[in-house]
Amino acid sequence: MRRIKILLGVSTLAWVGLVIRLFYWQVGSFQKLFLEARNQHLEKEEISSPRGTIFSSDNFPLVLSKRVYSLFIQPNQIDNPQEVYKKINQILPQDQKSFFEVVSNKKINWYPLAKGISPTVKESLENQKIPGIGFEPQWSRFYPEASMAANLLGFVGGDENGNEKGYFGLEGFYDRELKGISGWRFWERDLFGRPIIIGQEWGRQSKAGRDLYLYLDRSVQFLVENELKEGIKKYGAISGSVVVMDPLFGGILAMASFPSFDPANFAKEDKSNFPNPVVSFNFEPGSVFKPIVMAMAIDLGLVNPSTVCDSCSGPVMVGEHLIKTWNEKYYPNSTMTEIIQHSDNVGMVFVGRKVGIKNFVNYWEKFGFGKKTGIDLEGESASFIREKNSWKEIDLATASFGQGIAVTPIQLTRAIAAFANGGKLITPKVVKKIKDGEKEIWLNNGEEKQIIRPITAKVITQMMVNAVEKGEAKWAKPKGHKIAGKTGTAQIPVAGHYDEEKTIASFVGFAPANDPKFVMLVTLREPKTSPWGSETAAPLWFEIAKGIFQIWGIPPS
Amino acid sequence: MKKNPGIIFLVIAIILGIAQLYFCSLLGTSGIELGKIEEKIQILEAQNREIEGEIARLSSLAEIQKRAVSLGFQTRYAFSNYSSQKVIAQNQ
Repeated sequence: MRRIKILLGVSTLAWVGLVIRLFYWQVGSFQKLFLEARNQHLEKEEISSPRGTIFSSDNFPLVLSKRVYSLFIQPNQIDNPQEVYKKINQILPQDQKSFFEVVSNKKINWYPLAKGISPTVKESLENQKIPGIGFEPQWSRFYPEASMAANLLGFVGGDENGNEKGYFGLEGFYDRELKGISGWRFWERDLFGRPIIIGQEWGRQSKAGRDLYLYLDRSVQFLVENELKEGIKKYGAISGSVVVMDPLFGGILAMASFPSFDPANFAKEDKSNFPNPVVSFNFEPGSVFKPIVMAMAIDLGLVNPSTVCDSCSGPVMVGEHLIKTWNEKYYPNSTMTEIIQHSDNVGMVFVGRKVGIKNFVNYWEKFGFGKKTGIDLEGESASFIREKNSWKEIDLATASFGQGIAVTPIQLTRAIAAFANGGKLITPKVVKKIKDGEKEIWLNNGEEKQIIRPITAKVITQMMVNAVEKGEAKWAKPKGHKIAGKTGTAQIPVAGHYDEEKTIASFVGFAPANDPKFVMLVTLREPKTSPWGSETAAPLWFEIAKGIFQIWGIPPS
Repeated sequence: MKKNPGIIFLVIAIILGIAQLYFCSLLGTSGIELGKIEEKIQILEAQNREIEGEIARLSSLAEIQKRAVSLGFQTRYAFSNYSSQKVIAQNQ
């Protein structure tokens, strides 16, 4: 009986102990044990997704994401460093000294040996069955056309958490669209880590970034970049920009600036080249602004092409300031057409006075100056203008020939496009459509406003055609083509005064004048061979235009 | 002959056990195969993207121009377009 009691007591204690232990496992340590068990029989895989591709208008990938790998070594798992080095070096040459330095240090658990390895190289290394090496998958941006349109495209770097982030241009502006959504997957595995086919599997699907399709014409972009590089060299300029736009819809057909950068190696590049000058650089336009002021006067009915300037026979005094023409040649009784043809500053003061400050500021805003154009590129800046009530007579006089005001190249291009499209202000745009898998989203962003009467646009076009046919740059014009354009030479303001030597030479225009297919602005900063736009920017504009005529098959009119 | 239910039960249990072992090993093998297939898919996808990039690089305008020049073609600077009002050739 006593033995039975002892047995019962021991048994009861054992059961109580078992219950306590079970309670400890199932309640007290549930979380910890659950996680441990889950880690043992569940496998997790992060599925990174590629960033979207950017295509030119001919569906050519300008930027795409490629799968690459980083190679790492685990020195504490390498027994024969000489053999490992030999095998790796055959496929992927390594610096012997630094390799052995790393491998001999057994305190290092993990060391990245190489980055950006292609899948083919990875496969070759894997076939060698090298102990103590591993691979980490990554995505890398690849540029088949190298640094073409670098300022327009931008580049991809890392954010503060090391995640991919687009900077500048399209990569910056469309970062959210281009960026894919990473996914993950859990599945049950057996003792050897093999997936259990009837086990559970769940996760979130990764989603590749959206693709962008641009208006950009790759052939025109290639032409523009080559010509601009040549032009900068030929005319000894320190930098230059070209923008080619469709004047009807505002699609950007080409956009280039030099000096530029290589987006694949942006870390080694000069950071000052990252912003796109076409959208972020403010400059005094000079004479290329004259057709815009003339349009104000014509649209208001204050002048017409044959109106005669009665103060064009010599320099004109505005307050305390004497205004002269650029070449100190004067043309008494010039008509409005001749004022644009001769790029006559005195004649433009006559026009500016007729327009007046109030109308000038109103039209300035109508033409879209003073605010961003809304182009889909990161880093656009808005030009500025002084307050309406702080204008003086001299400010209006200088503004009438494009000095004392600032614009961005893209603002000026779209303002001139209004003459080519019957008087409408359009929004410049780079992306035509976004593709999300099979779904296509056509972008029709931006407003379109009638800012001047169609007849005004027609009259100004005629004046600009006349300026090309008979103006200073007529020698460079391609024969047989009807081009509307205007030269510009703006001095550069330095510390409150204008630098006598340094200029920004420019030419803006569109062609063919009777059925415009493109509007283009060329700017060259500080050309050395000649400071004048008619001798630098204009011939470059015509050279590019000749190329565009050939590419698009535009015959002489 | 009297059938022993215990033996019948034992035979069924053995058959079921063998079937269980067979299917488990079959699924294990399929799991390995599945793992390999998934790995292969990833490799092929990566290689496909690499080939796409290489095709794009080889068909880039700079590359085409380089090849054209090496084959003796001239750049467009070597040509000029002339237009004339004079009739050069006319059908009779």
